[in-house]
Order: sequence, then C-alpha cells, then structure tokens
Amino acid sequence: MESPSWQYPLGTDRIGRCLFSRIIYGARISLTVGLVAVGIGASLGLLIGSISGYMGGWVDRLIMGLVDIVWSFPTMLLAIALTAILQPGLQSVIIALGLVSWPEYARVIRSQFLAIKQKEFVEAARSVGASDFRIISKHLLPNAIAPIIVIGTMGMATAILVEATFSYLGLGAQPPSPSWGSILSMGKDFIYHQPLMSIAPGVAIMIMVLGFNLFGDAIRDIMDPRLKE
Amino acid sequence: MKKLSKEKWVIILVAIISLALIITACGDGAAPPPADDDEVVDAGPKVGGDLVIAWDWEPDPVIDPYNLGWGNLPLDLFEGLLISDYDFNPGPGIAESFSFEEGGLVQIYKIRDDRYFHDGTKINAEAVKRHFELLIDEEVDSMSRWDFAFISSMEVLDEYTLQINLEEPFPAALSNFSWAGGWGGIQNPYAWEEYGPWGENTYGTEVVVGSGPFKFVEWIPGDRLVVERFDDYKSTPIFENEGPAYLDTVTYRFIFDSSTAVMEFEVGNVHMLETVPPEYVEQVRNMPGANIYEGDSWEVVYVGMACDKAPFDDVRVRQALNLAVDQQEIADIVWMGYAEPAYAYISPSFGDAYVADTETFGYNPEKAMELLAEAGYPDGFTAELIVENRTDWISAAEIIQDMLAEVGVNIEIRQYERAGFYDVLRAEEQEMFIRAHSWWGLDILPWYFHSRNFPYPNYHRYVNEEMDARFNDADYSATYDELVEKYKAIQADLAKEAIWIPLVQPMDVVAYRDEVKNFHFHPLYGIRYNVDIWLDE
Repeated sequence: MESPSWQYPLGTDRIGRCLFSRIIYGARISLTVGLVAVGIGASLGLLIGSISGYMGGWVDRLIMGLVDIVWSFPTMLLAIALTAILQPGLQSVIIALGLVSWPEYARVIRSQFLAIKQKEFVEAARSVGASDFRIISKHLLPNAIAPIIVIGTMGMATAILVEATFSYLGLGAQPPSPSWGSILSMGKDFIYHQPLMSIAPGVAIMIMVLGFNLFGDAIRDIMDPRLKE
Repeated sequence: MKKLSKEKWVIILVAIISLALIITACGDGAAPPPADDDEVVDAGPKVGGDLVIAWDWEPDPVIDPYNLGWGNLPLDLFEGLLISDYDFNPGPGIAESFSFEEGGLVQIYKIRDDRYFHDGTKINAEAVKRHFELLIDEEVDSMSRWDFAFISSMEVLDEYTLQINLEEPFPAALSNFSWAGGWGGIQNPYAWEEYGPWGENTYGTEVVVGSGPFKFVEWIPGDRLVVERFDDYKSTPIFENEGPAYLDTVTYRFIFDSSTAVMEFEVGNVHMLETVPPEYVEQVRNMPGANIYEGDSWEVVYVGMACDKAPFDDVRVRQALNLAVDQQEIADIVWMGYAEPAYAYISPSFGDAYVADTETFGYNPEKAMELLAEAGYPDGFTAELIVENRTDWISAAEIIQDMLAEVGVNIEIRQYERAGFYDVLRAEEQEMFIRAHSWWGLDILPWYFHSRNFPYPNYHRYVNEEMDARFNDADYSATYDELVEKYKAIQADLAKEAIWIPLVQPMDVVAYRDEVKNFHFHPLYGIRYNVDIWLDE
C-alpha cells in the first residue's frame, strides 16, 4: 500500500494495484451495468406496458395488478433475493435490476398509450386497415417514447448506485473486478491510514450519478414544450 | 423546473464535496480522552464489573458440547475433566487427579468433591459418566463422537471415582479430556436430557448448564452472549485466583466487521478484541490506553481443493497449483508481516510433531508448468475459488488468482457471506475454497482427511483407505511418543498428496485496554477463561 505519488496519483491498494487506474476501469463496469440493466428494464416495460395500454380491458387489469404486486416488494430485497438464487456476480445484479425496474416503464407507457390511442391519427391508421403491430410500432410508440428516455436516464443513475451497493456487500462484481462498490468495501478497513481508498470511489460514484441525474433533467427540459422559454 | 445557472451548480457541487470532507475529517478528531495512568500498582484485584470482549465469531448452531457445529464454545461456561497448563501439560480440572493402570488401558479419575454444575447439582462420578455416555451415544450423534470412541466402558467405583476402560491404548485421551472449548467441556447431562433435543429443545439457546467459572445468562443471536459469575466455583490450579472469578459478568459481543470492532474498542465500549486484523494492529497500538499482545497461534489459512473432482483428482495438478503459489508474498502483502508462510497442514506451534515440506508446498512455477503439462493440462484449465466475504481472504484470493494465471490456470473468484459459503460446502459444490483452522491436536489430520468424515468436515473430499488405516493405527499407539512418530510419517506422506495449498500461519494478536488487569494469554485457551482477570474502572 503506497501513498499518492506522481506514478500513482491516488496511491495503491492493499495488494499494490494503482487505485487511479482501477477507478478509471470501474467506470466501465458502472456504465455497463447502467446501460444493460436499463435496457432490460425498459424493453420489458415497453413490451408489457404497450400490450396493457393498447389492449385495455381484462388484460390491462391483469398486467396492472402484476405491476402493483412487483412494486409492493422492496426493490433492494427483491434484487438481493434474486442474486441469492442466481449466484453472486455482475450478471445476476444486472438481471435482478432489470427484473425489478420494468413496472415503472410499463406504467408510463401504458398511460401514454391510453391518451394517444384516442387520437385521430390512430383512428385514421386503423380505418385504412393497419395491423395492431403496425399501429403500436409506427404510430403509438414513437409518440410515447419521450418520457421513457427521461426515466431511463434517471434509472441509469439508480442502477449504478444499486450496483455499487451490491458490490460493497460482496453480491455484485466479483474480485478482481474493480467495481467502485468493491473498492469502497476494500477501502473501509484502511480508512484511518489511507482514506483516499474510500473517498475516491465514493466521489466517482457521486459524480457519475449526479451526471446522469443532470442529464435526465436536461433531456426533460428539452423535451417538455411547457418549459421552452 | 427552471434551469439553474452554471454557477449555482458549481456552488452546490462544492458544498456537497466539502460537506463530505468535513464529515470524514471529524472521524479523526473523535479520539477519546487519554486513560488515567494507573498509579496504584500494588492494589489487589477488585471484584465486580462487566468485561466486554469482541468476538468475530459466534457459537453455531447452539452452545452444547454434544452438538458442536462450526464454532467453538465459550470456555467460561465449561471446564474439562482436565485442564492444560501453560506448558501444555494436562493438569487437574474437574478431576483432581488421575492414574493409569495396565499400560493406560484402565484410567482412574478422582473427581473433586467440591464442584457443582450451574444449577446447583453436585458433580460426581455418576454425572461425569453420564456426560461421556451421551457424548459417544450414536443417537446423540455428536460430531466429536470419534474423539471419545476410545472409551469402551466406564465404572463408578465410588461417589467421586470414575474408572474408564479402554480396549487399546489411546495416547491422545488426556488432551481430548482437556479441550473444554470443544468436546471436553463438561455440562450437566441431566439438564441436557430435560431441555435438549429429547426434551423441550431449549438447551444450548435458552438453557446451558455448564461447570465453568461463569454461568449462562442470555444469548441474543447476532448480538451478544452474557455470562455471570458462578459463586460456587472452586478454582483450578492453573489459575492464580483460588475462589470464584472477580468479574460480575462477561459480555461477548459478536462484531463481525473489523472496523466497527476497532472503533468500539477505541471509544471504550469494548475492553478486549480477541482478534485484531493485521491492517489495524499499528492503529490499535497507537491508541491511548490500548495494549497489544502478539503470539504464535495454531491457525493455518489454506486453499482446499475437492480431491474427487477433475482436474483436482490428479495429484500432479494439486502439486502444480501448490508450486505456483508463493506463500511468502501473501504473508508479506495481505497479512503485512503478521503471519508466516505455511508449508504444512498444521502450525509450527506443534513443535516436535510439526513436519514442513517446503518442496511440495514451496514456490517453483517452472516445475508447476511441467507438472500441469504431464497431467494433460498444458494450457491450464478454469476453476472456481469460493471465499468468505472477508477483505483479507479476498485479497489473498486475488493474489492467488494472479499467481495461478502465470501457469495458465484461470481462477474465477466468488465471494459469499459465511452462511452462503457453508451452504456451498454442504451442497458439495466446491472446487477450491479458502478456509482456516486453529486446531492444536494431531487429531486434526484424521478430522479433515479420514474418509469417515466425508463429505464434512472432510470438505477436501480426500478418500484414501490406506491413510484411514494409518490414522486408526496411529491414534491407538501404545505411547504418545509413538503416536507423534507415526503422525510425522503420515504428515510427510500427506504433504506429497498436496490436498491443500497451505497459505499462511497468522499470528494471534489480542488487544486489551488499560482497565483490564492481570491479563494472561493461554496458548490453548487464548483469552477465553476470565478467572484471573479483573477490571480497574
């Protein structure tokens, strides 16, 4: 374990690896988890939400009932249970995150569909004989996607935080992956000698999460016509 | 939301970062006021007080010598028939004297007539006989049954005299009788029959009736175990104190997170740390009011391999992995010098009985590559290494992963919390795993490598009938010296089998605060008998 120097800007960890390099590599893990988890969650949500909003009736009630059930579980607990079943590891965290985050997307897409499917251009498409699939994919989805992008960006921030939490607890990225969460957990034993080992990954997580939140805010501002000055 | 200007964002960001820095800085300033120097050196022991000791383990599953699980027992609750002195000689415990006849085949133990169980029942020969009957009972199915299987019959000669008959000599009998932290701890067998699994099934969790200097008060799983002084305790010669203990109560707190334990110690909520992790030793040494004891331990940390699963079923593969791992580097880096590299299945604290094999367990990556090629793995293979969620073992696993990659073996590390780790072992899904043992008897070898203990505690899944026969033969040697000689030969041959990759032999590092007086470290029992200790608060 070395203190910061020109060669190792943030010092080295317990077994002599450059902390700065590990934090840079860690960004990859965080971004991957964020993108893939949101990808899985949003795709599932889009699919289920579209069906629910478009079909209406008992299908809608059934799916929304399911959404309420999934939502009533504490997210963290559900994700921990899933990783316990699957095996600790990054893939499990990603799958778990995807499986617990879809209801949010489904809800939003459904409410968008309910509003848009009454519009005249949808009636027009239907009157010329367009199939359900064509109406959903060509007419409804492009008009309903905007809020999903905003939620997805914010969701990346949440996913990164959850991955860090899981890796801190040892359920996420397995050694030697330089996940910020596991660097933090390794660093807590050295907090008196080498506080940078805990502070640096903490700050990195904070900056990335803050970045995605600001990004989400900015997208919303751009997309929301009421906020245009 | 209105857009915030760039300047405002910068201000908010700076505010958050400085807040974070202030919070971390506060941690350093919160040192406690220095403890008073103890000026009155010759004041005698004070009676009273609550000694708080932090453990990084917890009894599991219950506090019951008949039902030993993965952990040890709180020694304060139990005393053995014999107690080992500071030089490992078995001395009087609950038995005040013992004598052997017919070459050790008849052992006569004279039980003290002034000792009581914690519920007030007098300890006599009949009770001790019943205790050992239950311990070796097939239906009770104690994990330590084999350690007393040498008892063929017992006779009560008079109220306080017990005769134990053996069919063959068993030199380890005396040391087994003196291991109160495990199987040797004597408890009230009648209370066990009433409250144990055959009765109300509260024994070991709500009711414990032992024989030691302290009696059970309560056990809150995951939090603490409280014991209080047993006033009818009559001390054993190894203690300076002749009467009951000085302390009113002892509280064992289960603190699994080492940073929390060290902080609790620093602010004085905990008087003693049973284990100080290497990364904290210097910090604890510099704390005002803190003392450090360092000594050799019985502990060996090792990587176990499942010997019946490919590719570990080939001894050349196991030897190759051993040669690829440099123990010295792991000891220096992960244990920061508070450990010695390990080249045997047992610790050098065994003295004469210890046999190291630096050739098999040493470091020679070229030879490792040759052996792997010979075994049919010139390009290596992939295996899974499971490890408990402790930062030191995980760091060791990362170094091992790196060293094995040098010879082409690809290791995937998977970390589990303790319960999850043992779930994998119980499910018999392990390939490689990191564990440690701190046993002080040679019976550790059959305990781990005898096929009767397959699949656990023989997690390494090592089955060898010839070795089984040699273990049985050695255990029933005529004399202790003969036993040691046989075990030395067994060790030398077992080393060639390379069942483990022994890693390091960590030191025992104990921390205690100035208030703790008359601290002694026992080479076998550690800090777990608190008869002599008193508190100056």
